[in-house]
Amino acid sequence: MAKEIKPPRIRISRRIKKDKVIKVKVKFNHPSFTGLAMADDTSEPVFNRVRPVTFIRNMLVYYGEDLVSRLRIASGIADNPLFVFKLKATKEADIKVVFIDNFGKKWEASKKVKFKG
Amino acid sequence: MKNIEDFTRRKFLNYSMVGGVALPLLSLMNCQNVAHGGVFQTAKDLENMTDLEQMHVPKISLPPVVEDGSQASIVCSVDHPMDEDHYIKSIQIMNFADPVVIKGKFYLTPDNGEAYISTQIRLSGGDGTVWVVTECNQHGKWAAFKNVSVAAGGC
Repeated sequence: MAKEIKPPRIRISRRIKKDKVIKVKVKFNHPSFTGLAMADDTSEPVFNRVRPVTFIRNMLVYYGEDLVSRLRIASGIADNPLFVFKLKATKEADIKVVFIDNFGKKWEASKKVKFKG
Repeated sequence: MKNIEDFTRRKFLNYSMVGGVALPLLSLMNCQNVAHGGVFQTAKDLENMTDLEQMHVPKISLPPVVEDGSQASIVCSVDHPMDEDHYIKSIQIMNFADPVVIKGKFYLTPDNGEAYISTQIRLSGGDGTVWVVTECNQHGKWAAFKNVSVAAGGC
Protein backbone atom coordinates (compact mmCIF):
# COMPACT_ATOMS: atom_id res chain seq x y z
CA MET A 1 0.00 0.00 0.00
CA ALA A 2 1.30 3.44 -0.92
CA LYS A 3 2.44 5.60 1.96
CA GLU A 4 0.00 8.37 2.74
CA ILE A 5 1.28 11.83 1.89
CA LYS A 6 1.01 14.21 4.80
CA PRO A 7 0.06 17.89 4.39
CA PRO A 8 2.86 20.43 3.89
CA ARG A 9 4.41 22.31 6.81
CA ILE A 10 4.99 26.08 6.90
CA ARG A 11 7.60 27.80 9.03
CA ILE A 12 7.85 31.54 9.53
CA SER A 13 9.63 33.73 12.04
CA ARG A 14 7.92 34.37 15.38
CA ARG A 15 9.10 37.98 15.50
CA ILE A 16 7.41 39.69 12.60
CA LYS A 17 7.17 43.44 12.23
CA LYS A 18 4.67 45.17 10.00
CA ASP A 19 5.87 45.88 6.44
CA LYS A 20 9.01 43.81 6.87
CA VAL A 21 9.89 41.12 4.35
CA ILE A 22 9.77 37.67 5.93
CA LYS A 23 11.11 34.31 4.80
CA VAL A 24 8.52 31.56 4.39
CA LYS A 25 9.73 27.96 4.42
CA VAL A 26 7.41 25.26 3.10
CA LYS A 27 8.34 21.61 3.43
CA PHE A 28 6.30 19.06 1.56
CA ASN A 29 7.13 15.37 1.72
CA HIS A 30 5.93 14.34 -1.71
CA PRO A 31 7.66 11.84 -4.01
CA SER A 32 8.86 13.19 -7.31
CA PHE A 33 10.23 11.12 -10.13
CA THR A 34 10.66 11.79 -13.78
CA GLY A 35 10.00 8.14 -14.52
CA LEU A 36 13.01 8.18 -16.81
CA ALA A 37 16.01 5.87 -16.78
CA MET A 38 19.10 5.67 -18.95
CA ALA A 39 18.55 3.27 -21.81
CA ASP A 40 22.19 2.26 -21.99
CA ASP A 41 25.04 3.30 -19.71
CA THR A 42 27.65 3.08 -22.43
CA SER A 43 25.94 5.09 -25.17
CA GLU A 44 24.85 8.70 -25.32
CA PRO A 45 22.36 9.59 -22.58
CA VAL A 46 19.12 8.29 -24.04
CA PHE A 47 16.27 8.14 -21.58
CA ASN A 48 13.33 5.77 -21.59
CA ARG A 49 10.22 6.10 -19.50
CA VAL A 50 10.23 3.10 -17.19
CA ARG A 51 7.54 4.10 -14.69
CA PRO A 52 4.76 6.70 -14.45
CA VAL A 53 5.86 10.25 -13.83
CA THR A 54 4.89 11.68 -10.43
CA PHE A 55 5.49 15.23 -9.31
CA ILE A 56 3.96 18.33 -7.73
CA ARG A 57 2.52 20.41 -10.54
CA ASN A 58 1.47 23.60 -8.77
CA MET A 59 2.10 25.48 -5.58
CA LEU A 60 -0.23 28.36 -4.81
CA VAL A 61 0.49 30.85 -2.04
CA TYR A 62 -2.34 32.92 -0.58
CA TYR A 63 -1.85 35.75 1.91
CA GLY A 64 -5.25 36.45 3.38
CA GLU A 65 -7.55 36.23 0.39
CA ASP A 66 -4.94 37.27 -2.18
CA LEU A 67 -2.97 34.92 -4.38
CA VAL A 68 0.55 36.31 -3.98
CA SER A 69 2.70 33.65 -5.66
CA ARG A 70 2.34 30.66 -7.88
CA LEU A 71 4.90 28.02 -8.74
CA ARG A 72 4.59 25.78 -11.76
CA ILE A 73 6.75 22.78 -11.15
CA ALA A 74 7.97 19.99 -13.38
CA SER A 75 9.30 16.56 -12.49
CA GLY A 76 12.78 18.10 -12.37
CA ILE A 77 12.17 19.17 -8.77
CA ALA A 78 13.63 16.90 -6.09
CA ASP A 79 11.80 14.50 -3.81
CA ASN A 80 10.36 16.03 -0.62
CA PRO A 81 11.28 19.59 -1.59
CA LEU A 82 11.75 22.54 0.73
CA PHE A 83 10.61 25.78 -0.87
CA VAL A 84 11.78 29.06 0.58
CA PHE A 85 10.39 32.36 -0.65
CA LYS A 86 9.80 35.86 0.71
CA LEU A 87 6.67 37.75 1.56
CA LYS A 88 6.00 41.30 2.73
CA ALA A 89 4.10 41.18 6.02
CA THR A 90 1.55 43.90 5.43
CA LYS A 91 -1.32 42.50 7.49
CA GLU A 92 -2.16 39.97 10.17
CA ALA A 93 -3.61 37.18 8.07
CA ASP A 94 -3.14 33.55 7.17
CA ILE A 95 -0.50 32.38 4.74
CA LYS A 96 -2.06 29.46 2.93
CA VAL A 97 -0.09 27.16 0.67
CA VAL A 98 -1.87 24.77 -1.68
CA PHE A 99 -0.05 21.97 -3.51
CA ILE A 100 -1.57 20.12 -6.47
CA ASP A 101 0.17 17.10 -7.97
CA ASN A 102 0.00 15.78 -11.52
CA PHE A 103 -2.88 13.46 -10.59
CA GLY A 104 -4.94 16.44 -9.38
CA LYS A 105 -4.66 15.61 -5.68
CA LYS A 106 -4.58 18.62 -3.40
CA TRP A 107 -2.88 19.35 -0.06
CA GLU A 108 -2.86 22.59 1.87
CA ALA A 109 -1.51 24.17 5.01
CA SER A 110 -1.78 27.57 6.61
CA LYS A 111 0.02 29.68 9.18
CA LYS A 112 -1.10 32.91 10.79
CA VAL A 113 1.08 36.00 10.53
CA LYS A 114 1.05 37.86 13.84
CA PHE A 115 2.92 41.08 14.48
CA LYS A 116 5.19 41.41 17.50
CA GLY A 117 7.05 44.49 18.56
CA MET B 1 -15.11 31.53 -56.14
CA LYS B 2 -16.22 35.08 -56.83
CA ASN B 3 -13.25 36.52 -54.91
CA ILE B 4 -10.76 34.56 -57.00
CA GLU B 5 -12.44 35.73 -60.20
CA ASP B 6 -12.19 39.36 -59.01
CA PHE B 7 -8.48 38.96 -58.40
CA THR B 8 -7.20 40.54 -61.61
CA ARG B 9 -3.69 40.73 -63.00
CA ARG B 10 -3.57 44.44 -62.08
CA LYS B 11 -4.45 43.68 -58.45
CA PHE B 12 -1.81 40.97 -58.30
CA LEU B 13 0.83 43.41 -59.56
CA ASN B 14 -0.29 46.07 -57.06
CA TYR B 15 -0.10 43.68 -54.12
CA SER B 16 3.28 42.37 -55.25
CA MET B 17 4.62 45.92 -55.47
CA VAL B 18 3.33 46.85 -51.99
CA GLY B 19 4.74 43.62 -50.53
CA GLY B 20 8.05 44.12 -52.27
CA VAL B 21 8.44 47.56 -50.68
CA ALA B 22 6.98 46.75 -47.25
CA LEU B 23 8.88 43.55 -46.45
CA PRO B 24 12.41 45.01 -46.74
CA LEU B 25 11.26 48.01 -44.66
CA LEU B 26 9.89 45.71 -41.94
CA SER B 27 13.21 43.95 -41.68
CA LEU B 28 14.87 47.31 -40.95
CA MET B 29 12.61 47.89 -37.94
CA ASN B 30 13.80 46.83 -34.51
CA CYS B 31 11.51 43.89 -33.78
CA GLN B 32 12.96 43.10 -30.38
CA ASN B 33 10.13 43.22 -27.88
CA VAL B 34 11.81 45.20 -25.13
CA ALA B 35 8.73 45.42 -22.92
CA HIS B 36 8.11 41.70 -22.78
CA GLY B 37 11.59 40.45 -23.50
CA GLY B 38 11.38 38.46 -26.68
CA VAL B 39 14.94 37.32 -26.04
CA PHE B 40 16.98 36.85 -22.91
CA GLN B 41 19.37 39.58 -21.96
CA THR B 42 22.55 38.73 -20.11
CA ALA B 43 25.28 40.77 -18.47
CA LYS B 44 27.74 41.84 -21.16
CA ASP B 45 30.64 42.19 -18.75
CA LEU B 46 30.27 40.45 -15.39
CA GLU B 47 33.05 42.59 -13.87
CA ASN B 48 31.51 45.91 -14.88
CA MET B 49 27.75 45.54 -14.93
CA THR B 50 25.57 48.53 -15.68
CA ASP B 51 22.93 49.65 -13.16
CA LEU B 52 20.21 48.01 -15.24
CA GLU B 53 22.15 44.74 -15.36
CA GLN B 54 22.88 44.77 -11.64
CA MET B 55 19.21 45.27 -10.97
CA HIS B 56 17.97 42.49 -13.27
CA VAL B 57 20.58 39.79 -13.71
CA PRO B 58 19.70 36.94 -11.31
CA LYS B 59 22.11 35.71 -8.67
CA ILE B 60 22.45 31.94 -8.49
CA SER B 61 23.75 30.06 -5.51
CA LEU B 62 24.55 26.50 -6.57
CA PRO B 63 27.63 24.47 -5.66
CA PRO B 64 29.98 23.90 -8.64
CA VAL B 65 30.17 20.19 -7.81
CA VAL B 66 27.05 18.31 -6.77
CA GLU B 67 27.51 14.83 -5.28
CA ASP B 68 23.88 13.74 -5.44
CA GLY B 69 22.00 14.96 -8.51
CA SER B 70 18.63 14.07 -7.02
CA GLN B 71 18.89 16.83 -4.38
CA ALA B 72 20.78 19.87 -5.67
CA SER B 73 20.00 22.96 -3.60
CA ILE B 74 19.64 26.15 -5.57
CA VAL B 75 18.94 29.71 -4.45
CA CYS B 76 17.92 32.35 -6.98
CA SER B 77 17.48 36.00 -6.12
CA VAL B 78 17.38 39.37 -7.82
CA ASP B 79 18.21 42.78 -6.32
CA HIS B 80 15.18 44.42 -7.80
CA PRO B 81 12.48 46.62 -6.26
CA MET B 82 9.07 45.01 -5.95
CA ASP B 83 6.89 48.08 -6.51
CA GLU B 84 3.37 48.02 -7.85
CA ASP B 85 4.48 49.30 -11.27
CA HIS B 86 7.96 47.77 -11.47
CA TYR B 87 8.62 44.27 -10.21
CA ILE B 88 9.96 40.83 -11.08
CA LYS B 89 7.16 38.75 -12.56
CA SER B 90 8.81 35.35 -12.57
CA ILE B 91 11.92 33.30 -11.92
CA GLN B 92 12.49 30.21 -14.04
CA ILE B 93 15.10 27.48 -13.51
CA MET B 94 16.32 25.40 -16.47
CA ASN B 95 19.02 22.96 -17.44
CA PHE B 96 19.27 22.08 -21.12
CA ALA B 97 21.44 19.03 -20.45
CA ASP B 98 18.65 17.26 -18.56
CA PRO B 99 15.78 15.26 -20.02
CA VAL B 100 13.41 17.52 -18.05
CA VAL B 101 14.71 20.95 -19.07
CA ILE B 102 12.38 23.26 -17.12
CA LYS B 103 12.55 22.64 -13.39
CA GLY B 104 9.99 25.20 -12.34
CA LYS B 105 8.71 28.70 -12.82
CA PHE B 106 7.92 30.85 -9.82
CA TYR B 107 5.45 33.67 -10.46
CA LEU B 108 5.81 36.64 -8.14
CA THR B 109 3.81 39.73 -7.29
CA PRO B 110 4.77 42.98 -5.54
CA ASP B 111 3.38 41.41 -2.32
CA ASN B 112 6.46 39.18 -2.19
CA GLY B 113 8.65 42.14 -1.25
CA GLU B 114 11.77 40.47 -2.64
CA ALA B 115 12.41 38.28 -5.67
CA TYR B 116 13.84 35.18 -4.02
CA ILE B 117 13.30 31.42 -4.33
CA SER B 118 15.18 28.51 -2.88
CA THR B 119 14.47 24.88 -3.71
CA GLN B 120 16.09 21.56 -4.62
CA ILE B 121 16.29 20.30 -8.19
CA ARG B 122 17.21 17.10 -10.00
CA LEU B 123 20.25 17.17 -12.27
CA SER B 124 21.49 14.46 -14.58
CA GLY B 125 25.07 13.24 -14.27
CA GLY B 126 28.06 14.91 -15.88
CA ASP B 127 28.67 18.55 -16.72
CA GLY B 128 25.79 20.88 -17.28
CA THR B 129 24.73 24.49 -17.13
CA VAL B 130 21.86 25.66 -14.98
CA TRP B 131 20.11 28.74 -16.35
CA VAL B 132 17.95 31.08 -14.33
CA VAL B 133 15.71 33.49 -16.22
CA THR B 134 13.96 36.36 -14.48
CA GLU B 135 11.26 38.46 -16.06
CA CYS B 136 10.79 42.12 -15.18
CA ASN B 137 7.43 43.66 -16.07
CA GLN B 138 9.19 46.64 -17.66
CA HIS B 139 12.57 45.42 -18.88
CA GLY B 140 11.90 41.90 -20.12
CA LYS B 141 13.77 38.68 -19.51
CA TRP B 142 17.25 38.46 -18.01
CA ALA B 143 19.31 35.33 -17.72
CA ALA B 144 22.32 34.10 -15.81
CA PHE B 145 23.88 30.68 -15.72
CA LYS B 146 26.11 28.57 -13.54
CA ASN B 147 28.17 25.57 -14.63
CA VAL B 148 27.74 22.51 -12.51
CA SER B 149 29.34 19.10 -12.42
CA VAL B 150 27.17 16.29 -11.07
CA ALA B 151 28.80 13.12 -9.73
CA ALA B 152 25.70 10.90 -9.51
CA GLY B 153 22.82 11.80 -11.81
CA GLY B 154 19.41 12.18 -10.26
CA CYS B 155 17.06 12.06 -13.22
